[in-house]
Amino acid sequence: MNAIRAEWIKLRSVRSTLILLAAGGVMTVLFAVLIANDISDEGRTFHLTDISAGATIAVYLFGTLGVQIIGQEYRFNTIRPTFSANPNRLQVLAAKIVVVSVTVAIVAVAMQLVATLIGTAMLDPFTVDGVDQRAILGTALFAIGWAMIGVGIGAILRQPVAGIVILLVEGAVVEGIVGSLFSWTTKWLPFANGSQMMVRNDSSNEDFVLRSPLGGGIYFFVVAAVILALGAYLANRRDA
Amino acid sequence: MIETRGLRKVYGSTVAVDDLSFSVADGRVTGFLGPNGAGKSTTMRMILGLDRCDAGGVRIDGRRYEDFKQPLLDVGSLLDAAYVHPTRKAADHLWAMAAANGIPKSRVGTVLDLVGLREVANKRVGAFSLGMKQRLGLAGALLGDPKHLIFDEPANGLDPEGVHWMRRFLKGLAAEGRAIFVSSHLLSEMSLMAEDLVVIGRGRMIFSGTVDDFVNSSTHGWVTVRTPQLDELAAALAAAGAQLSRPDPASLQVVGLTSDQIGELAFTNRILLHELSPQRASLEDAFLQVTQGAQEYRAGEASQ
Repeated sequence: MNAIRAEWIKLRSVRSTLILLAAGGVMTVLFAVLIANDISDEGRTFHLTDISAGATIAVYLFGTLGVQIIGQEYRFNTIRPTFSANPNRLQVLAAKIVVVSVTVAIVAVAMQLVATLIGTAMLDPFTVDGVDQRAILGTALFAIGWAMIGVGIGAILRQPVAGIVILLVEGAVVEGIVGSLFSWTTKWLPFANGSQMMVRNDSSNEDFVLRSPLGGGIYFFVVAAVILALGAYLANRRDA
Repeated sequence: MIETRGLRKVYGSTVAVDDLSFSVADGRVTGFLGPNGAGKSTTMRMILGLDRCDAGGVRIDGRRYEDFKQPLLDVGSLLDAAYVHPTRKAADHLWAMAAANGIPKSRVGTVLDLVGLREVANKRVGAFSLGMKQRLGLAGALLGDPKHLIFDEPANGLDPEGVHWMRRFLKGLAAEGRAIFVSSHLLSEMSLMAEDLVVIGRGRMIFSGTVDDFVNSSTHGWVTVRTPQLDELAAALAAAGAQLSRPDPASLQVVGLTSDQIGELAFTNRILLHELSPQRASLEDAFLQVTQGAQEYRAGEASQ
């Protein structure tokens, strides 16, 4: 518990982490307003998943937070006082994951609830069905998983900038290109499959054969666990 | 008591630390001397479990650092005052460290008072001067009121007043019975502060013992004598078994006799003395002499 308390104090005592969290939340809400405004005259039953596209971008910020929480410690060498205060490095990493996961999950759920309020106010008829509820949970899980991957990459690279670039480019660019060039790879793209957790099962892109929300989510977390395990192994073995 | 046994660290093909064994006693300041790149910081990181040892090990009161659940209660350290997040406030920096070891938050204010940083507790550390960061680092080391303290170049970058403050502070901590292990390249500082010395060069042990023993074993004291009856005195001294050298035509350097003995010898031989002054090599001289030796040894070894 001491390790978790220490990481919680560190997370909230630095401005950049708070800005990232706020930006993620605000972006989702802002997108909800813009999209709701756009589709309000379509004359159909609207769902939360119709206006939650901003969450797809917000998770990048949560992943960035994951990189930051460990990468910044290496950048400013505070990893040394951190490991001096707690030589159990795996416990330190675990505490970081707990703190960042809980934080992004709360922000993810909160921003989806605010988006629900916006939908109720701006769209008619607006309903939240089982799929929407699953998508709210899925958003929280996807945010957690993406933050975990961030922590893993941060621990492997030991600096924030390259880690953030890798995270963004992988999700936003690499997967799109690889998936388009080789259609057989689409089932193995972690970000695309993981993001199925937070959308209604649409087939807007026929080229991409993706897993179900459950299957995609499980596959995504397996990838996250592997990256995290590598990061933890290296952080534990290397000189701090 | 901090003890290292056969400590070794290799980076690639460079042996940074080789077979270092020494101990840091309670209630004393032990200075850790060596030229830049000698392996002082690496050794300190190995003591704290930050760098993995390639051979040998460290025991702090018989335990490995990794085995401490709340290490800050036993071992405080300041490796580099720059190890802070610039946008974090001083008090938050200390609070996070305290929380990691279950130290109450009230202790943060106490240590900030100890180092005189109370007024800037809620300022971001990025705006701190180097001297203030050093004080903050000291505060962090003292959080757990530990029995052992490890400081890497704590006087680095401080103004003379700050150096003086630091010296008194560390001596005070040792007087409370703590084991203080402090590295420095400010050799004059070390002679004013340390009682024991560990001297290394190129990662190898050169000397381990008291400061006095270090100066005595590394250099010889001598006595400078000036007299108008130089040859007479030289003969008398040589007869008494002294080794003599003549740096200039008017004076003698005498090794092997004290100034008292030389004075008595001159008196009984009715020799007039103009000068009789015992000379003692400074710690600096001793240090330069032994580390120079280590470097020459290394250079010779490399050319074989």
